[in-house]
Amino acid sequence: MKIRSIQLTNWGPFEGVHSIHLDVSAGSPVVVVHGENGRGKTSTMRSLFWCLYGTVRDGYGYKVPTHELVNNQCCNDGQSSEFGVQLIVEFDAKDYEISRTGKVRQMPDALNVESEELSFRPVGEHPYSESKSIDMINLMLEEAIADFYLFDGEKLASVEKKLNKNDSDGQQFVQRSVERALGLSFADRLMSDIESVSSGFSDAISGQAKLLDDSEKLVLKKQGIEADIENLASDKRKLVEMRASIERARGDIANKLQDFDLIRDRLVERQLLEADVLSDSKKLDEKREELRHEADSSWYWPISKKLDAITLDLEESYDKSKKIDESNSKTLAQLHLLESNLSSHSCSLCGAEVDESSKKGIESRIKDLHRQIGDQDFEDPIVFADQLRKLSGYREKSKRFPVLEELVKSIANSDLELLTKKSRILELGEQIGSVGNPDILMLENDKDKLTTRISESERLEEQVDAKISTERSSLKAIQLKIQESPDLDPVERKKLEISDALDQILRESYDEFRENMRLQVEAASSNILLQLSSEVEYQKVSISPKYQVAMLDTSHQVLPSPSSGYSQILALAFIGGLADVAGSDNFVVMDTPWGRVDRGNRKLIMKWIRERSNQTIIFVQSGELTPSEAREHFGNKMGRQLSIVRQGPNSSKIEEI
Amino acid sequence: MFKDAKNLAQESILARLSQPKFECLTPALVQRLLDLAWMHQTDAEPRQRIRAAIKDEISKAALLSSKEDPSLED
Repeated sequence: MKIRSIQLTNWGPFEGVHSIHLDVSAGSPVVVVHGENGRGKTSTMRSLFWCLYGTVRDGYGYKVPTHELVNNQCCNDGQSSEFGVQLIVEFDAKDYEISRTGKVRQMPDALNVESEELSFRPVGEHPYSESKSIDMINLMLEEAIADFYLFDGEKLASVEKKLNKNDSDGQQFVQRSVERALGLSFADRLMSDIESVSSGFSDAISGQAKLLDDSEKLVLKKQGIEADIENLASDKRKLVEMRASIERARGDIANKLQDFDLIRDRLVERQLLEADVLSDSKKLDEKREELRHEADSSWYWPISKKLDAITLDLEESYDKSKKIDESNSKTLAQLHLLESNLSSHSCSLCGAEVDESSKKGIESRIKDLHRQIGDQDFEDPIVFADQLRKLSGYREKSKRFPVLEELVKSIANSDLELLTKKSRILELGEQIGSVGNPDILMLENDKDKLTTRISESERLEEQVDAKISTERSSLKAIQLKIQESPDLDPVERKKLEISDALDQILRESYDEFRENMRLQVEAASSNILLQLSSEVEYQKVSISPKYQVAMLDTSHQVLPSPSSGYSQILALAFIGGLADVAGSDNFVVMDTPWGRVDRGNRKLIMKWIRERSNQTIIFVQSGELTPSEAREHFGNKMGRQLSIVRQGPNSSKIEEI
Repeated sequence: MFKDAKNLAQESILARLSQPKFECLTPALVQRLLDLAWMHQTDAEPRQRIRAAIKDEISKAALLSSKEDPSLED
């Protein structure tokens, strides 16, 4: 399957109609779409999911409401507008047009999706019925395995976490993924079909046997057992459905807990800090009380305070007197100059003669200056400096008063610590954001309870299976007795014999079939790991019989804790392995899959993409890969390069590079 | 899609065919039934039609087998 084009109408940040041409030749199958965060890379990838299956799920499996996918500028208050996605795809050498469209209305709070419609047709022909359209889409790309071909960094991170956890949730995820990839349901359905056909043959023989007097009782007994088996099978179906719904609920809780893992440390830190702040505040109050008590019972403390106040006053007086002293020095210098001019009858600066009128002016100025000096309440700063020196000595001694000194220091330190802790609590609150205070313990409790219920259900299912097996043996014995009747049609007898043998051989082959699937995915994932890894010791992906995924070294030993970059490479190898065994001729779409992978391994990922022969569409940010780097890496394998660019606030468009 | 599922199932089944209890089954019959089931997995064919086709294949095999079985010739 290959995507030729996508047409988006009022989708994500794409207001109006936007066409994306993705058609590539077999020799140049790589398409690189560049775009910064928020420009619409993820929206474009999600448009594929929505068009094909009518739903979009985030990386953790939660359904994204359709109205959140639609362009929020597309209609004004109260008005409605059309939105949708149209794909032109090539499948089995024929082109098909898949179109899912809808109408939204702008309500006061949000967009309201009023209708949705799917249309599927071979290009230029009439549309198929809705049920045939859905069947055809699943024939092209089964929804159950679509996420092996369309994945983003979030999905990769979620797979990586599940692989790393290696608990029962993780193992179940791996087992289901493997069985989805290779279609265990195919064998399930075949067994069910053979059983149904066999039952039909058995009924036909019973019908003949009824005609024979001596077989009638046996037939009645057989019918009774068949009814019992049917009831038991119905019980089993209900148990399986119930277990599946419990497993889904447990999966939801596991996903929530996984989300909370990110904030769990912050919550724990905040809780500890809050307890600390409470206890520290109490201790600080006690210290302050102690200080008050010490201060009240000590003569030195009030004296020390008094000394502080006197020092402050003296410092002020010292500053003031120093300023006056400086000003007086300047005035005295001026007086000295004027008196010298008067006595010498000439200006000492320019040599000009002092005449009578100048003399009077000089005498008047000398009087003013004397008055200015005399009017001041002046005390020599040396006196204040001396007093301050003495006071400084007293204060130095008061500081050595040990109990008070320690208490004051300790209170100041505690105050600072408390302030730091409070500020960290605020910071953590912002990081935790809207998640609030989830009761993780309650969720873990619920998960444990559900796990117990799943075990109980599995035990009951085993009991029902054992009963069904016993009843089947009885049925078989009766059937054989009926079949032994010489008057029965030998061909009818043969039909039953063949259908029974088919039923038995399928049941006996089932576990081996399942085991082979595991080995196939293991081999495909290992093959990809070898291409993606730059380290020689990462040789093989192992999927154990219990569905634990690990990386093995050259001596086939499990590598205990690969780096975070290699954890991501393992997840990519696993998804790639699933995709390869599920179908080799499908397109792959990857949205910013680099994550924490270093430059060396990024190059290897690009090499792996370059060596793929199918259409591969990758969405990248400029920091990850520039258009010229992409051209350099993919060379003649590059089919197209596109760029999603900003058109306006919350609005993007797609351009060919 | 699921390109190897049919081959894997076929391998597991064929490996058991030599057992005496499966004497009445032939590789050709197994192959035809897997092909039919495969259609059911990947095609929009209604299930009842698939079951009818399986029934038909088994009936044909039974008829053929009874003709070849000398003990049933009387």
